[in-house]
Order: sequence, then structure tokens, then C-alpha cells
Amino acid sequence: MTGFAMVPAMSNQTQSSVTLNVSNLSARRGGRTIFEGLSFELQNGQSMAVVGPNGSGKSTLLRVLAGLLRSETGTVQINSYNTQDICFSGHRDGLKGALTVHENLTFWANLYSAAENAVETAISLMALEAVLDMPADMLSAGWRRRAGLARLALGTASIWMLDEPYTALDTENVTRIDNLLSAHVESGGIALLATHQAPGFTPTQRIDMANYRAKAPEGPEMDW
Amino acid sequence: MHALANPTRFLKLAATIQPWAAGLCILCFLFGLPIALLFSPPDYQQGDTVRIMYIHVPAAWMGLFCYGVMAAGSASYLIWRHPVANMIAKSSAPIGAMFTALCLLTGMLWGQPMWGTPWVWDARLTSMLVLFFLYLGYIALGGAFDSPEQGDKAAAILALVGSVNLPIIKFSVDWWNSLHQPSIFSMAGISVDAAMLPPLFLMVGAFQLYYVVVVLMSVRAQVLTAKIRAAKLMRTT
Amino acid sequence: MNTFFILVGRDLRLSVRHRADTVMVAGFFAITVILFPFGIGPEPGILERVGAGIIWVTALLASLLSLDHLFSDDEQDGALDLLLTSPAAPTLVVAAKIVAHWLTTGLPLTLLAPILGVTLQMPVGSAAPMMTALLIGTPTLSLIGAVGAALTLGARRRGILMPLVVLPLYIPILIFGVGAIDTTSMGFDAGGLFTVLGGFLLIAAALCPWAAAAALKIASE
Repeated sequence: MTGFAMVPAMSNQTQSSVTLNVSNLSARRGGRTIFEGLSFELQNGQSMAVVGPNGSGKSTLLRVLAGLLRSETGTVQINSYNTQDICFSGHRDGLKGALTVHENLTFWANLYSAAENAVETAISLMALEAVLDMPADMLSAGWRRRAGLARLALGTASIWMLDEPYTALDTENVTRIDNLLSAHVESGGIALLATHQAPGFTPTQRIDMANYRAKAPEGPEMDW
Repeated sequence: MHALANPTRFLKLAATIQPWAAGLCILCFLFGLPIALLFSPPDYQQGDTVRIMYIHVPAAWMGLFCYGVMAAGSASYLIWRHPVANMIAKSSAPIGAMFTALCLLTGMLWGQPMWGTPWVWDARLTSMLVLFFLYLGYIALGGAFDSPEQGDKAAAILALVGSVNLPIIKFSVDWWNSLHQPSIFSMAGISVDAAMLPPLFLMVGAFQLYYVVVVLMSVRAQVLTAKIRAAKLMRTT
Repeated sequence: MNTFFILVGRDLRLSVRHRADTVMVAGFFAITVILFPFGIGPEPGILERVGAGIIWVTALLASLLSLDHLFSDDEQDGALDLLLTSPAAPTLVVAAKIVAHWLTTGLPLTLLAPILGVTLQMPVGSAAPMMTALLIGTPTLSLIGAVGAALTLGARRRGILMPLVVLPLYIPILIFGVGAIDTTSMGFDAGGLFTVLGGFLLIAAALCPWAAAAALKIASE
């Protein structure tokens, strides 16, 4: 396998164009088409809120875009110059309970080939100093969320895909995430957020999943 | 081949083939069974025991054949996402397991008079026994998930892994067998007389046609079930 | 390559934190081997004859039981999603986890085996071929087992399903692993058998990471 060169990210994201191009996307889950006919394009510095009622496919869309779920039809095109195109954050934080917060962050920083001081930057941005040497197991839900989202602040990915990032966070920390998002987008990144809450950070675009719900056909589908 | 991936087209074709296959299958059994079990000449060494071979050999052949179909169907499902290929693979598994069990059972019946014991660790019988467990694993894995699609895909990968492993298992068991017991009366060592061939071929044909009929029935049922399920899901959402 | 070592390092660090897990696998291996003399009777001739088989069958089971949480820990806390969306190729992630699994189970079992061989009254001369056979054979167990662990991820009754899926695939390694030890003990040259075990390892190393990665993607859907 090829080794990944250490690329300083974040600072030079404006140099090259980052695009996320989605056309005619549809996805199935559990034998049912969740959404269909979804198309949009995001470029440097754009962001999008993915809204819609429960079960309308917000999480499914993010998982398809992140490459975790195969789409039924359509294409997702990502143009980015980074070794790491996307940073995904789901309902669960992916922290290893037996490792300390610092160890968790260092692992992701190494895997993402982040810049040398990226871990320290992320720690200060998320104000994690107090819990650095605590095993992630011992953290409360809010702290866990913060430690998990600190991955974003490692600053390596061009496109952020966040599923309900504000869960379990108090207002102070919601602001922290908002600031992270603003900084990311201003430096030329792309962000997608699936959320019920109206964030303090205002995305440039908005997509309502209710508009892409699969239409029920007349009678049973004959050609699936 | 790809044209048949469409379930609706497959249903039409299956409906045409099925009665013919069923008729031929009955004919093969009607002629094959009496010839094999009553009218064919007994073996000069084994006597009437040799008649077990007319069931045992086609069953062993079908046990391997079904696994081959299963692997090919699974590959086609994983690569091209052909739903019908997956259904054929899925319905081949229990039939193949049944034929493998029949092969083992008739092998034991044959072993009782020939070896004096129903089970010896004969190389071929042992390989068939492992094959039987490969079938069990496939069937169990396919049904172990809440999402049927996930079960189908996992089982399909297992079928491919198993098809790579099968020759290795065969090779290992053959070597192991030669090391431990140089068998005098191997099941392999039967010289086939020309008079044995017609009933043998009739029985192979009967088993093969039986397989075709049952797989077609099973796939048709699966297609219809899937259509009903899709229709129900559409109504609820 | 760098990415590979980062991934292996993480899993090794985790097993150091959870070192009780490794101790449990080794303990399971030891207690199960020691059950056989009680079941068969302590006559030296019989135990010596079946010793290699007991060691291998038990190593097989110990390796299998420890595979249970190879991917399921990462799946439950969400780390698997993050690993699969990271720049590391899924096959590389799987390969790293297999290497870490072998280092924390296969290797300790290999080191422990000659001591247990002594309790089965196996000749001292059988220690070297036993360790060599386990050294070549147990990585193959980890490789094949990883495919089984990935395939059964998210399945019901996983503890029973996994042996059913994986154990038939283990049979060739068992046959040649025991064969290599017994052949050497009987004073013959078993070089060819070790080569066959090595061949199995190469085939498994070439195919299993891909199969397991494909299975993981299905499980994460």
C-alpha cells in the first residue's frame, strides 16, 4: 500500500477547487426506496443543511455520500486534492473506550496524515484540555461528543458530513461546533449537516428530504 | 443470460419449462428406478449391494453440482446484482444439502455389508461430509440477519469462499486418508460395466430434472413473495 | 505501509489495555487441553499418539472464540464507519486487524503449546515441529476466521453461527498441521507438509483480506 505524504491541509484549501457533485441519486434500504431523483452540487465554501422528518433518509443520504452505503442509481462525484476527501461523523463517536482522549485523537491524526500540531490545535479548539488523559469510557455523553467531533478540527478533510452533530451538546459547545464549521467553510471546505436543530451556523444551501420521497407506483412494481 | 435477470421474463420462461421438466423427470424415474433396482445385472463381487450405487453416485454428483450452481449464482448476484441469480443460489442450497445427505446415507447403507460398519473415514465420504457442513453454514448464515438482503449478500460471499476452499479440502482429505488407512474397498474402486451405464444415466437424468423442477418452483415462489412484499411496503409508505 | 503500522499499533495498544482478553484465550487453550487426559485416561501411549491432534483442535477453537470481537467492538462504537470512510483502504484495515489479532492470540498459543505438549506426554523432540506448524498455521486461522467474523457481523446467535461457518474451512490446516507434527515425531522428513501449510497461508493472505473487506462493507450498510 502506498504511504500517505504529510500534507498540510486547511491552510491551502483555497488553492484548488473542491466539488461534490450528486446527480439523480436514489437509495434503497430494507427493500424500500428511501429517496430518489436527488441532485445537487456543492463547491468550495458552500454548505448544506439536510432537513426532513424522521425516516425521510437524512442519515441514509449521508451514508451514501460517505461511501458506506451503495446507491441504487445515480452518481456521487468528489473532486478534492486531499489524501482524505471526506470526514464522516455519525450517531456514534467511534471513540475507543480503553484509550484516552489524547490517544484517540492522535490515532485519527496519524491515520489522516494530519499536520504535526493538528492534535494540539484540535484540543484547544474543542477545549478538551481537562479530559485529555481520561479514558474515553469515563466521559459523559457531552464530553464524548466533543472529543469525537474534535476529529473534524484535525483539519485534513475537504468535505465534512455530519449526522446530528449537535446531539448532547450544551449551547457553549454548539457555538464551538458552529465556529469550527464557519472556519472550515471560509477556508474553502464543504460541509453537509443532517440536523433537526436550527444551527447558529447558517448553511448556504438547504435540501428537504421530504421532496425526494419515492413515489408509490400504481400497483405492484413489475420491474425491480 | 443477462436477459433472464429480469424476474418477470424469468417467470414466463420458468412457467414454460417447468411442466416439460417435470414430465421428463417422472419418465426418467419410471424407467430408471426399475432397471437400476431390479433388472440390471448384480455385481460379481458385491452382488445386489451395487444397486445402491444407482442412487449414491447421482446423489454425490448432484451434491457437487448444486454447490457449483450456488457459487456461480452468488458470483453473478454480487457482481451484477441479478436478483434471480441470488434466488437460484438460495434455492439450490437446501436441495444440494439434501442430495449430499442422501449420498452420505446411501454410502453408510453400502458400507454396512461391504466394510462391516456403516461409517469409515473414506476419502470421498469424508469430503462429502465437509460439503454438507458447508451447505449448513451457507443456509444458516443466509437466515441469520434481520435484513434479508444483508443475509443474501453475506451468504453469497461465503459460497464463493467455500468454492475456493472445496478443492483444498478435497486435496487435504485425500492426503489425510492415504496417510491413515490404505483402504482396500474404496468406494472409488468399482469397475463400471457397460450394462450399468443406461440405468446410471437415467438416474442422473432423473435427479437433474428433479433439481430443475424444484429450483424453478422455488424461484417462482420467491419472485412472487418479493412482489407481494414490495407491494405491501409501497402501501404503508 | 505507514498507515498499516498505525492501524496495527492501535489494535495492539487496545489489547494491552484489554490484556485480560489475551490471558482468557490462553487460559481457555490450557484448560481445554488439560481436560483431555481426564476424558481419555492418562496412559502415556494414547496421549502421546493423540497429543498433536488435541493441541491443534484446541488451538482452532481458541482462535475462533477470540475472533468474536475482531470487528464487533469497532462496529458497536462506530469506529468501523470512521475507518471505512478514512483514507486507509478497507483491505488494509482488515489486514492490520488480522495481524494484530494473530500477535495477540496465535503467537501466545504457539508459545504456550510446547508446555501443554509436555502435559500430554509428547516427546521433547516434538516441541520444535509443533511450534513451527503453529507458527505457519495459526496466521491462516486468523485470516480465514476474519472472513467469518466479518460475514457474521450483525447476525443473530453469532456465537453459534461463527463456528458453523468457519470450522469446515479450518479442516485443511488441521489435517496438515497435525500431519506435520506427527510425521516429524515418527522420524520422517515433514518439509513438504510445512510447505503445504505455507502454501495455505499464502493463498489465505492473498484472498481473505479482500473477502473480509467485502463482507465488512455489506455489514456496515
